[in-house]
Amino acid sequence: MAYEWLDKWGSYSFCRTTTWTPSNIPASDGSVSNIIWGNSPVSQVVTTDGQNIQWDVNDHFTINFYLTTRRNLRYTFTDTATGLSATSTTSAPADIVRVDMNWAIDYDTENAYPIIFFQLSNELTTFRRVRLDIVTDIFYQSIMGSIPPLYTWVAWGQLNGNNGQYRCSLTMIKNAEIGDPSTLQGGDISDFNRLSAQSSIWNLYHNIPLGVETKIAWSGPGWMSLTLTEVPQSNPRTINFQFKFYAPQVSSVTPIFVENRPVAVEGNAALKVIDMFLSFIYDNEQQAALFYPVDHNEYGDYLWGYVNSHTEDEMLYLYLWLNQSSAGTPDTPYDDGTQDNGGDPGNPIPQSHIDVPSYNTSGGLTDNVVTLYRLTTAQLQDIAGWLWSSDFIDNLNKFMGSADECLLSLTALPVKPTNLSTKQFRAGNVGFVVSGTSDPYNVEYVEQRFFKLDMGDFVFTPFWDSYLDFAPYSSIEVYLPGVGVQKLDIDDIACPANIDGSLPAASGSTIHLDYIIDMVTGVLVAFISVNGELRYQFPGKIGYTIPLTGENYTRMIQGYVTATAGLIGTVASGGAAAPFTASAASAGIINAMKPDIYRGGNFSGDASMLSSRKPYLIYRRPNKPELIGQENFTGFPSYKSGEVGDFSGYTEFLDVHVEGLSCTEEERDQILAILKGGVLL
Amino acid sequence: MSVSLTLKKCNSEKNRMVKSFVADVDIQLTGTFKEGQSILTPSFTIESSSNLSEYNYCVITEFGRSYFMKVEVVQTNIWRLNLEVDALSSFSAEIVNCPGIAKRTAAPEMINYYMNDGALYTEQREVITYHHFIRNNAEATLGDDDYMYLLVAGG
Repeated sequence: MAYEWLDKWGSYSFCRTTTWTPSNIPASDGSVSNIIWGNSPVSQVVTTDGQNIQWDVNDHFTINFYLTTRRNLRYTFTDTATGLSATSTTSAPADIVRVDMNWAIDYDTENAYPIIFFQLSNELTTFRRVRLDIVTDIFYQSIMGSIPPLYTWVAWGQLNGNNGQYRCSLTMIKNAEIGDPSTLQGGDISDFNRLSAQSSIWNLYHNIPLGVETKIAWSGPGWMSLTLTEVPQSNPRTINFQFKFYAPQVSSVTPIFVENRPVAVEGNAALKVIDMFLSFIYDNEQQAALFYPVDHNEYGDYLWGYVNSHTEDEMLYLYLWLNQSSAGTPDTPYDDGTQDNGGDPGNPIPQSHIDVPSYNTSGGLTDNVVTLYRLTTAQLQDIAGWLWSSDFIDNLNKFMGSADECLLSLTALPVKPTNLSTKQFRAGNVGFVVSGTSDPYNVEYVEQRFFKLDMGDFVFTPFWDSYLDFAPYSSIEVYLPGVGVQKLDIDDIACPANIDGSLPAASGSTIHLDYIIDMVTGVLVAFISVNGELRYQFPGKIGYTIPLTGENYTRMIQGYVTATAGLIGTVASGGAAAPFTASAASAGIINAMKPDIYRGGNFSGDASMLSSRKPYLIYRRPNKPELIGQENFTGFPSYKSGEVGDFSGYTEFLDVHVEGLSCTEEERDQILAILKGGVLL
Repeated sequence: MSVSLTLKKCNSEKNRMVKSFVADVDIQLTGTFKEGQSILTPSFTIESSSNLSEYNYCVITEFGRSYFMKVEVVQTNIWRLNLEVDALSSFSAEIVNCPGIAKRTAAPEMINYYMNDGALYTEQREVITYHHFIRNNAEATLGDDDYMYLLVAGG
């Protein structure tokens, strides 16, 4: 058999377990834990012998629990339509303190089995059950033929209407905490304390005389009244809060709904109520509403809310009464806003780590095919004298006709690697010796062709700590010896992303410059890293060549002229006519008017040796005058969410939810206009 | 209907939520409305020997609201008070709990200076500065000397 629990009947829920399901109910008595109570009127606490509990389910059936003694339970189920009934008894080894029931419905066989749950005085954490197996088909027909609607409850926003002397605002229970209206599922006291003290029901309690019916809230032409009366001889002292709802189109004298709430106002913390909140929940589809007061106990800020029984007619009348309110219902009555970040952004993609390359290769300088010697001026003179002497020429290899055929280039560079090794100078496989001796003439030579030079750091701190630090308002360029002036991305410098792809908490960065230089040709690459991550690479060339032959010299001059043609002087481009206005302009207009100045030509090669050999950054930022007290006149950009009280000074809102205010529509419009147009908080 | 009025001298801006008033000059009045009154724009005539023309604000306890007030002189000691509800102040205790999104504010912790909405005004002149790279506490340089390098075949 496949069972299902009958969870609800209208607004009433039934007892059920989380460990037993209808399909695995034991055949015999046995205790079970994890009971979920149903709500009144079926679920009942038992106190005396002879107690009779009867629940008439409208025209469908009657459930009767009768305790002949505290340990003997007789239960009767009667189908009203047919008059058929099923009765059974059960005896317990201890006093019965609570009874409840549910139906296990077998859709396959079309039977409904009443399951009785009862709790014993010596088993307060567990429950027993008994299953009734009589006329179960009749019960099935009765239940399946008339199951009342299931409700989906949503909190009602607020009341409005013709406010007069007294105002009582509603709090709003969160939709997620409505659950089974029999009890409040949760509730944060701060949510219910959103109303001002003057408009709370508790303030009215302190200011309304006993025994006087007082109008406290309105919904369109309808109103709600409160009458406070002392419950005689109550201990602890108890006040009855009687709420009456009137719809004058039905009757101005007879209320459509009455709710009595006895409230202990003295006594210990567990009993004493220190505040009360009023709310409604409704189901638009079923056109039903429930009045949902919530008590605030002093003990640990405990909220206790429950709904007393409403007939179907009462639920409909309350629903119609609420809908008379001109305020209507908010689209999202006090749901927690989602942390909407505009779409569904995922986690930032972690960045790849990009290093400055290291070229630890000889680049052909240690293969004895060519050798790069680093010579002082005196050594050059000595070697030059030797190269054009008969000592060298006579000993030159026969395949070389003259000295210049083995001298490939003579280059001047501004850098010298440290700790160069030395060896005898040789050309065309002829070794040079110290004059007058046979000692080898040793000179420094380069073994690593590519030389990495650390060119220092610059710690960049944005000046304004605002959007003025970024493009297009600020800019940054770099002058690089051997390269020229290059643009950098100020956004990447002012606030570079973390390696995990997120933005850092603070702006600023450390810019580091490296050069890797080809010692043979003078070709270089300038590497710019930001916070240790390589970001820019610019090619260039340093050094000048000293021609060793007439052909060399001609080629060198031609190459220089070609490379530098057209690059004399500075060129300005861009810019716009200044606007004819007397007022100060925002930063965007200023920046758009500025021409783009070209600060350098080709500083590569020979020109690099004549220009500055120190790299530097060119930082351009706007100048903002200090407007004393601007925060009180225009405020500063926010675009943050919060409650109105979270803001201060001059504040303009994009939008505010003011639906919960206990004011007229005209006042609401006035308030919203001021909040959007600029309010001083 | 019996009402209690408090006439005040308000020295705050209209759009300030919590108004401030001149101290120790309030006038308390009680009386009964002889005719129906609008909750939002009540208007009535009163008799008072005080110079009410200096007053611009009124609180009606029974209505639970505050009002901007304009005073007309009807006769000697007879004044007509024309009130317009100050909804912002009347419901300020509830408004502070309303959720919203702010465009501009002065609350330091709620300001985001990186949002570009034209709030910051700048001059035409800019500031251009030059900065060397630093290496070993000195300005980094390629070097001032020229070093000779002779590339030789063989060797």
